[in-house]
Amino acid sequence: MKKIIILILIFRVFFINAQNNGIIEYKYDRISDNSQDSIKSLIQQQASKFLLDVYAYAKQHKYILKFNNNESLFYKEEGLQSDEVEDPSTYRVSLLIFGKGIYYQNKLKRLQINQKETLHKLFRVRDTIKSDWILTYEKKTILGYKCYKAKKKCKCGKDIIVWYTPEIPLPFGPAGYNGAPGLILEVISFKDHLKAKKIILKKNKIEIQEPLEGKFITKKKLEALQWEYRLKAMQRRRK
Amino acid sequence: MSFHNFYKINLTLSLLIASVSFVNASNGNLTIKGNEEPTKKEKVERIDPATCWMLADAIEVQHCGHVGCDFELWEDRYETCLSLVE
Repeated sequence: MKKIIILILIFRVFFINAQNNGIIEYKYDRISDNSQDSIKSLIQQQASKFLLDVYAYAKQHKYILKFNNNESLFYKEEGLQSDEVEDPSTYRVSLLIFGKGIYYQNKLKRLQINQKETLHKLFRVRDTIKSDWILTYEKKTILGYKCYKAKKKCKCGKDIIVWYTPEIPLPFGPAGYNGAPGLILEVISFKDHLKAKKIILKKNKIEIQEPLEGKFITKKKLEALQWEYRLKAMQRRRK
Repeated sequence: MSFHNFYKINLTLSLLIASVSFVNASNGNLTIKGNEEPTKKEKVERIDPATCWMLADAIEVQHCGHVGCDFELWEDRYETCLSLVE
């Protein structure tokens, strides 16, 4: 019975064409860290102090997901004007929280493209929309929408939790999260937390432009290049 | 031994070494002229260039839990640090 319900939900998300257009604004929060500062090395203390400033900036940005019936686009709207930023280097890092660049998702092609600059190049990182969540019956309401909890494990073994609403049956979500049987309104990844604060549904179709610039690469291939770069940095350190 | 485990061991050792070099740097290898407060740039310049790799790793691990979980964050910190010390 449980499997049948899950299949119906997935079928609804990918094959039923109700009109859905909207903009969701999310806010970032960091789940507090109660680890013991006394056991930290000096370099770890420096890292903690730096990250606290990063999170303070990250809380000021707006995290936007625009969607229509077939596509979505996730991007960040900066919280401060350049002349208001006290520490540009820390501020720049705050824009990396919950993913660098923009995320485009396409339901029919089951495709995600993350356009971002890394390794001194602009890339369009291709990935597929996968329905690999473990669905639960745990529910709550977010901004009037009934949401269900789903989770999966990342490569490192930690749980990623999302709350999605079957009331908007689209497989989209913020920051590259996708494939749930409804729009994702909340994400908890390690200690990072992104939650919908405003949902605006539109009658007219929202036009979404697929990113057109950047070299195409698969997620797997890019990860391999990034590990290679890291390894070179480690070897350079030893010279 | 997998590359991931090798990397983890390397990181642990590196953090220990980096802590020592940090203490050395803070204890007078470099002096600050006058009574002015050191700026953020001066603080970074006192770090040995080799520490950039370890500092970037420490920031990444504290942010998302393990080495390799956020390459772009690591990349930004590593390259920014290198640009200040080289």
